[in-house]
Amino acid sequence: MKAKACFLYQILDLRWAVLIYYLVIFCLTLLTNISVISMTSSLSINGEHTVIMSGLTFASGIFIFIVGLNSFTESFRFALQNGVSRRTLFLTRLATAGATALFMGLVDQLFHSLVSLAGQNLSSGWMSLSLFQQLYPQAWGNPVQGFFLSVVFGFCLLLFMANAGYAVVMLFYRLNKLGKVLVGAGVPALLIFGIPVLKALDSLYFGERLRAFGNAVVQPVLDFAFHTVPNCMFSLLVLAALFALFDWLLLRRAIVR
Amino acid sequence: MSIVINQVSKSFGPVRALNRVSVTLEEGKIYGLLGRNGAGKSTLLNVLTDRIFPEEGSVTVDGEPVRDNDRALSKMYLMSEKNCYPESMRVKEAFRWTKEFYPDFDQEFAWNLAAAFELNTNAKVNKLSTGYSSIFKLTVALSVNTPYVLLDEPVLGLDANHRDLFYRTLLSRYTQRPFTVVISTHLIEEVASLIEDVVVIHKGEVLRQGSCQDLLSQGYTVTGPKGLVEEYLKGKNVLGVDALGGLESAYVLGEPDRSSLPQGLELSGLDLQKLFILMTGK
Repeated sequence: MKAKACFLYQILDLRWAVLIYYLVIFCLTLLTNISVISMTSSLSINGEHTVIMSGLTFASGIFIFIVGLNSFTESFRFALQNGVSRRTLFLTRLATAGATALFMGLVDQLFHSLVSLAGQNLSSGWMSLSLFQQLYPQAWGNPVQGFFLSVVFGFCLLLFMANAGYAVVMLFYRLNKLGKVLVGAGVPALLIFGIPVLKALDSLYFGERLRAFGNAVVQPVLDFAFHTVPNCMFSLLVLAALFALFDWLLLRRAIVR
Repeated sequence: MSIVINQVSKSFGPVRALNRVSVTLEEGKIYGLLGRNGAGKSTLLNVLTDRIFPEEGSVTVDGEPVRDNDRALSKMYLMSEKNCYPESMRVKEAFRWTKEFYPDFDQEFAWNLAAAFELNTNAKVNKLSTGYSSIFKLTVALSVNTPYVLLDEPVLGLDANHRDLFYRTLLSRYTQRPFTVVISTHLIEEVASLIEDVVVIHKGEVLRQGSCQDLLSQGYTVTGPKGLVEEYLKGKNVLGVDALGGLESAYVLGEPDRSSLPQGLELSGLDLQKLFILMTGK
């Protein structure tokens, strides 16, 4: 009973955000296409040119990451107020993230397919490519297989992003003031300055051995993890599971503040 | 059927909020959880409902540990000072969601009670004034129909009329279907006539636990001219004395011997609030 209510609450809590997101995407697409049509007609460009749209999967990934960032504090307090255990909250949140990722993966691919179909039928030269199509064009195969694989890929990517967002917000919830400042300022600083400094130190003091190590060990691992479609999907799921585990470790000792 | 708190301790940094607290809250009783500011009342209620974790000890509800246990947690409802409802949630939505989480929640009763309190059900929960925020939470707590209802400062910000309505409604609900109520409050005089059992917490430790009547019958008050009272108190276990002009009231532990009471002195029962002050004062 609690699980059903908790899942329902979290899903319904997201519905407006998802709806508004797709409304914005739809409006932007319409606006872009109208602009392109008017520009091409005024420039007398005929239908031989192809207009390729992409980036929706990536945008959805960012969106679901931000949703993850915003979906902890309120639902955690509300769940505890209503006698829901942390375990049930964790499982239902995972189910919510999974259902949202699947729904958005499906809608994203439907969007790509419909835009491309409209482009073909109107002979306008419009095309919309998913991230999967861009990264693994050779795996697309026939439209049905491609559609299915793209949805699964979108699901894996979005689940990973949702869990990552949730992990970030939970980490900040658990940290004390000093920890928040250190992580909040330290991580961006490390990313901006740390890598160039590390490279400089490597060149100056280690004879580029760190770079060699990276090329010899890290690069092959990354190549293997994302080289083929199954490897990439599996890797994304492993990352999603690792973030989920991290989420659970943080949630199981979280208290109401 | 009871909530058993066994040797629970909890610290916040250097502050020991609860120190080996053991309390049993039995089925169908109204408890007064009394203590001064910072005594550990809210901490205890938060530990009970698994909102915070004790460093040691255990809490069970009807024999089941509360830790990460939906079934045990479902039997309790904590009305806390802290607002745990989402920012954008309206009162009527909160009622609807409470019904989802607590199937026995009586929506009709909640709507009627909200109307009696003149609570705006279209208002957002977080925008309510302190008094109406308490009213909203009380309305949910009195409609939720769980076996254990825990009320932390339930009348915070309520005017006298609303407090009276709350006490009357609580008694009426309790009479219809007895359930365990724990009232944590500073307004001891107001709840003294409601509570059956009392748990007094002081500096994180349970100072006294038991029937309110038993507690009050452990002593008596003697009032009269100062000199007479002082003479009477010799050799007696005196809890405290209040003096006003030439009159003195003394609070004494034990059974009064009415036959040897000097003329001019009056005997009366102990007052819960006075007893509490004497127990928890310096």
